[in-house]
Amino acid sequence: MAYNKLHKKDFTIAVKTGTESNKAKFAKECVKGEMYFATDSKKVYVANSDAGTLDASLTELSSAGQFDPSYELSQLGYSGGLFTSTNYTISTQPIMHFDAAILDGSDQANNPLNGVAVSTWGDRSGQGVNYDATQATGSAQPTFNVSGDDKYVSFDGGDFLDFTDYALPTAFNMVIVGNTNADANNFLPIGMNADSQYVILELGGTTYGISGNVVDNTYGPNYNSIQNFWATRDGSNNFNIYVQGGNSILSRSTATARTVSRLGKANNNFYHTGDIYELIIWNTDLSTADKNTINSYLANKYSSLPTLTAFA
Amino acid sequence: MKYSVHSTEEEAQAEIDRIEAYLGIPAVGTIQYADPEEVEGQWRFRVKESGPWKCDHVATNVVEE
Repeated sequence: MAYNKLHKKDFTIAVKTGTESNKAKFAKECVKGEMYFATDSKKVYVANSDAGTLDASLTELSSAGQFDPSYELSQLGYSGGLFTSTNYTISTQPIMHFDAAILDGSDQANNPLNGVAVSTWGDRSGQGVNYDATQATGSAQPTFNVSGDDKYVSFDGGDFLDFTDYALPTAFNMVIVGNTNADANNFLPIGMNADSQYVILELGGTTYGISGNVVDNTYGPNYNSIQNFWATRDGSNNFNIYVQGGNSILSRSTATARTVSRLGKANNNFYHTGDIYELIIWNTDLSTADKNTINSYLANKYSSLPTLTAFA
Repeated sequence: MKYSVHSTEEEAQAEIDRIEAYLGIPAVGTIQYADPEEVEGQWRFRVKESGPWKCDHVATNVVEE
């Protein structure tokens, strides 16, 4: 049928309405292609087959799908990544990007159900080198969780995910959204490939960086709610840890090399005890504009984040 | 954190085998429950206290540390 010869009568679409609880009844009597709108959940379903001796299978047409324009606009965009032009587009593709909202690194529609053990957290950076983080041993797998609009991976103090080692260059940036599940527990979202080496660690109220530490009654012991951290080093070896945007709590000059190796555990027996929502690493010191764009993206995405101070 | 503690590596591995059968491991994305580790002359492995791999309620010789 030629497009220009279509008439209004050709576009008849059967849409039935009801509640989620009555959807099963629809599956017993529908014909292939019919649609069902659940007025309580605002979800739309399409019948994949005729109802016969078996109920028809239904597919949800998600209003918040991977390629829904409004969803895409709210994502962090960069060349080479899953999203390239959004309300939060930056100029530099990260080396690795772990986003619990897109757990397999490719499509949020593949996210597991709340409470499922995580054997793979996919890297969504789109880089040629794949830094998917994996754990094949059940007792060491963290858990995927959903709370409202937020998705996060929970580490219970004995969990971790391994990825291919990556040697941080002199200039790098790392941004983390996460928390501990109690003030007394360790904040160790990313581990190195050698003992006693860290980029950011909070232990007993003291925050440690690549070099140096800070005992800070404002930040150090209070990571038990969702937090924003940056660990940065520029090309002149100026290393900083920032909390809630551009608030530097640790500043050192250090050229010490570090190689990141896993999520949730140091090379020795220090584990993260809490949640990780998102973790991104770049092999450069981003522009101030890009850092602030990333914080705007995170603040929009995680409504419970404290107010983030702009980088200046 | 809880551990199942045993006198020998073989006993610890046998308990891991029993727990894997209980939990349905191997499964997609999961090839084993745990490896036994030697600590101060005993063999132990960690048992999960929550989540889909929780087994502290069925494991033997559970010790909390």
